[in-house]
Amino acid sequence: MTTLRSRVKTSPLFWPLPPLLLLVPAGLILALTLAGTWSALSWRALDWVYLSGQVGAQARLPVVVAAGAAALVAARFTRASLVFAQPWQPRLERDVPLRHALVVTGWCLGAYLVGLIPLTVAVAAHDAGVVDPMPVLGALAGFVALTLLGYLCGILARGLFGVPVAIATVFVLTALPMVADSWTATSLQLPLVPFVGMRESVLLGSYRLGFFLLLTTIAAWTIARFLRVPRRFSASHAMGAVALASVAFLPHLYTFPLVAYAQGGDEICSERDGIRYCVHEGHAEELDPIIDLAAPVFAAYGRGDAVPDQVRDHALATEDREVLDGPEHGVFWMRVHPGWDPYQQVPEDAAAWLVPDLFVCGSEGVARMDRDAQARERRAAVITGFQAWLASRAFGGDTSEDGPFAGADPDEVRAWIARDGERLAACEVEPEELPWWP
Amino acid sequence: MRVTLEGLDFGYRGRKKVLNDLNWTLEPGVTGLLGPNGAGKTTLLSLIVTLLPVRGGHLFIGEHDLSTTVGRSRARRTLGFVPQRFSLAGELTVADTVAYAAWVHGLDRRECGPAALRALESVDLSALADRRTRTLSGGQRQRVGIAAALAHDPRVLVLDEPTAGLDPGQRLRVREVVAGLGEDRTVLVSTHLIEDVAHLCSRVGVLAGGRIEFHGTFPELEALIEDSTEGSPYGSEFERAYDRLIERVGESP
Repeated sequence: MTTLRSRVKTSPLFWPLPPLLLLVPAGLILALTLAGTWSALSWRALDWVYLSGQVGAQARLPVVVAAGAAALVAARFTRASLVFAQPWQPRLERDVPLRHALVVTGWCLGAYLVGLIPLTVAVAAHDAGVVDPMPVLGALAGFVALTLLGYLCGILARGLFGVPVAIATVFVLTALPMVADSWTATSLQLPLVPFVGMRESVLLGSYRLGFFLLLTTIAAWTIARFLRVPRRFSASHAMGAVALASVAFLPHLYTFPLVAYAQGGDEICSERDGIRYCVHEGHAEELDPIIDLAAPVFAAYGRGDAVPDQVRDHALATEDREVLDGPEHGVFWMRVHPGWDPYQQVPEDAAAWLVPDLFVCGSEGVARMDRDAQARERRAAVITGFQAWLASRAFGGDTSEDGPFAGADPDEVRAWIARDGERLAACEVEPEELPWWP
Repeated sequence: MRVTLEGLDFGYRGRKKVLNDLNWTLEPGVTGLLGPNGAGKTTLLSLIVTLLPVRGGHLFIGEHDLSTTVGRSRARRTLGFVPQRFSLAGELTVADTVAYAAWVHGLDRRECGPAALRALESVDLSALADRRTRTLSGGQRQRVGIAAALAHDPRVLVLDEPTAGLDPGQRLRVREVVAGLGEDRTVLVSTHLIEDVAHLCSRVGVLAGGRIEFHGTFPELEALIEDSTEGSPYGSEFERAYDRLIERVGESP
């Protein structure tokens, strides 16, 4: 038993740290990662681009744990008062921090990557799109850099106080993109979830990678300096800090594009009732549900001239203008994304495409029919009521009894829309004008 | 391994010199370093273990010149040092602590376990190898410190007040351990306790006024002290006579 224990202790996997100091954070990181990705395992439309983005997005909490663990190791094992951490000792300046960083980062990053395996297997089952290397590289470099930053906090604080400092610092750094997009260039993840048809902007990805490499370099250099005699700040430290701060703040002066349209990927198409439906090859499994769920909504609307000529997967778009001009060209762009629920989204989106947007009513998004409602709010209620009726009626459902379309006969609605479609588009129809209004 | 100090000068920035044209040669065996408070004993030890840079004169550990970066780097692997005050990581066992120290001193990972056991044996702590260091007594901690400094088998071992703060029983135990270390290496023991020197050291140096004012055997030091007192060579009378000696050599040009 003693032999086994001593073998574990001197194993290169742990050496020179106590195994528990590595296993506890690694276990916590594994649990956090599995918990963070568990719900996505059963999602539809998973793809490699999404997974590439998740390598950074899911690291937000695990990297905080890793930084805390690194700070704890630094605080416990590099205090100059320790008999084995005196500044003159041959390995203290380089080998000790290198080895500490290697085993702490190895266990924490390893546990994180193991935690991502179930999601990777789920994505591999769909095998849609291709891996986007920039966010993956940026996330891995960020994980290492922020763990090293935690280690540096432990050394600078010269005690256990460094642990909460490291946790708070790294948590704030990873949370900043939620405050403003401009922090994205120096953080682990995008403020949006990328999926097939997109890729992270190369400029943004390169900048982020460069930032984390710079952070790693400066942190490693400062760590080595502070473990060497004498331990004090110098002008070169100040220059390093200024360089890092400059790189961190540059994105606030120049706005980086977040994502770009990925070129490539064949389309798979099918036609029903004169409408052509096309999806990215990575979304081939979604084509039939889209058709089955969108076609009845268009049929319920009834006006052939108003339905789109094409329904296209957003993953096939090549530029923003193409999507924005879609309605003008009779193209309905549908966002098929990981975790989407076509049974809810397709009817609603199809109905929303047919019915004008609420902003034409000028009601600031308010749609209601009670006695105190303003006229524009009542007219807006006709639009939202019609939208709900379409999404529901297409599949044999009925709208609520107190809505403007309560008890409406489908043929009667089709006749009304043929007559009053233009006025509805201009938000001019009062609820009392509806033919079935009691 | 010989330690040679030639014309060694050292002063902290903005203050007067602590060491002034210091010449001394340490041979294998245990050498005691005596001197009044503020004489520069800790500064001298810090220079020898490369904690402070050599700015004036020369300091050689064997053939390694500590005034050069390469010399310092090479000398470090031959040095062991137990500071007067040090701490231990309480969550580590005694054996792990010594093995860690061996690694920090440059040993290969696979050699550290056996080296730690050998070092613990030499300080008679093998029985406590699996104990957490937080459970040790003061004397046991001191011996762990010595084992940590010994684990990489240094040719030069420097001990700063190794018996300070220990009760008489523990002090005796540490003395026994240190006495055995000088057989095959150069050991320098800084202390303010005459008794430590009497029991441990084959040679003694007295540091005063930034120089080694006396260097010889303990009987020679005793004789010098007895010249200035008629009392017992031990006890408070002896200590007072020693203080007078220190004052005398300190005043000499």
